[in-house]
Amino acid sequence: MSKFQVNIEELYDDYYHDVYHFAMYYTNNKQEAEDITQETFLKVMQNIHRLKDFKKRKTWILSIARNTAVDIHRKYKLRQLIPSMMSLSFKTSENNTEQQLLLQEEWESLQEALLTLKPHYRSVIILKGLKELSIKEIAEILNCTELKVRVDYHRAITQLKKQVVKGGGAMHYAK
Amino acid sequence: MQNDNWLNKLKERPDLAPDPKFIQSLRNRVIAHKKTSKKNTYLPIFVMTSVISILAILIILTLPTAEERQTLIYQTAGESCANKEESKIVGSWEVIGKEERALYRVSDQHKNKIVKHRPMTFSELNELLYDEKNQYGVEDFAGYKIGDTITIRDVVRDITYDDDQNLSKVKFNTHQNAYTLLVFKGDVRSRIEVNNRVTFQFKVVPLIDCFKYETLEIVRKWEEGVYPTIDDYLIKKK
Repeated sequence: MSKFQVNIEELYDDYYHDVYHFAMYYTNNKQEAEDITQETFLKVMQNIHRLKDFKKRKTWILSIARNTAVDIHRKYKLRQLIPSMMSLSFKTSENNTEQQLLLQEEWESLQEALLTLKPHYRSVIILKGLKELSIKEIAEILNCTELKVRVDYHRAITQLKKQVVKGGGAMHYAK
Repeated sequence: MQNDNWLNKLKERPDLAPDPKFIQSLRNRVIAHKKTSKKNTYLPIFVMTSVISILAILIILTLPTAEERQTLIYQTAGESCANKEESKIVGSWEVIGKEERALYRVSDQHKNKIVKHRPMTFSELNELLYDEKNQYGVEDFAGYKIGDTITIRDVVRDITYDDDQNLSKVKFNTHQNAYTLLVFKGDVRSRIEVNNRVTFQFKVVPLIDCFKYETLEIVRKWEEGVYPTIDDYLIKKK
């Protein structure tokens, strides 16, 4: 390690929640979220020497998590993405109490709509809207300008609204 | 409806907490890796430089000629490569296009693997996607190239027809706890039944035009929001 000493256990303890949450929102699949979290921290360990600025450790880890999520999520499409599509499509027909169903639908319809967004917009919504990172941090993670993050967040929210109004984008989950 | 209200519902979604057993198990791996990786720092420098030199010579020797590169481009081009997206190599990934789609690079060992082309099950098809050298799944069917046809012969485990969407979902067992689901337009129950052994043929196409990563044509259509009919792929049943 060059200028600073990194304690990998501390990094793990401090950020596994953020990585896992990002992965869960990104995929809506527990198994995939675990795979993404595991792969992310394996990459963090292997590439820790590339972390040049310790202050940016959070955005560095989340950028790895984001790339890993995009990658792993695509690999699942043949094996698990399509079954997930099915479970999303038919979940609401299961027997639930009225209240449970209502609660489930509230977040599930949003989650389904989130899954229909393209990877970049989905990432922006998760990082800004759900994980409440600053615009500057998100720009570092997505390797773009702060202005682009602001514009894309606005566009992503608009698209999310449209999808929720349409009510059910499960069949477009693969996009 | 306010944006914040929407997002708060998602923030409070259930099952957001990771499984403690998984988190502890991964933590143990992290600690174990930390201990073993320290040994590497004592690797003599001359050994490393020798290895790097040998690798550099091997890479130079194995670089494709201009003619080979042309062939490679032709094979992976799709219809047109005029608008080929830019890509960059980041460690073990290739990051493609403005959306920064990151894909694992495929090892030469996987690409050059010799596989006999024969009808296979979906389980066997999935195994073709595993790069044994790098030990992860890749977007490349070992032993097949873009333009090839993959023949699947497997037993139908379940069929569901969704009247609202006019879509049929046909399930095949992939592993003990996983399955492959094919989605077709229309009601396929008049064409196939549960426990039928069916044969499909799928064409291998570029996952992204002009890049060497592979997928099945049907998967690419799904990604474009198109659901083909079963007759586009079904060869026979018995």
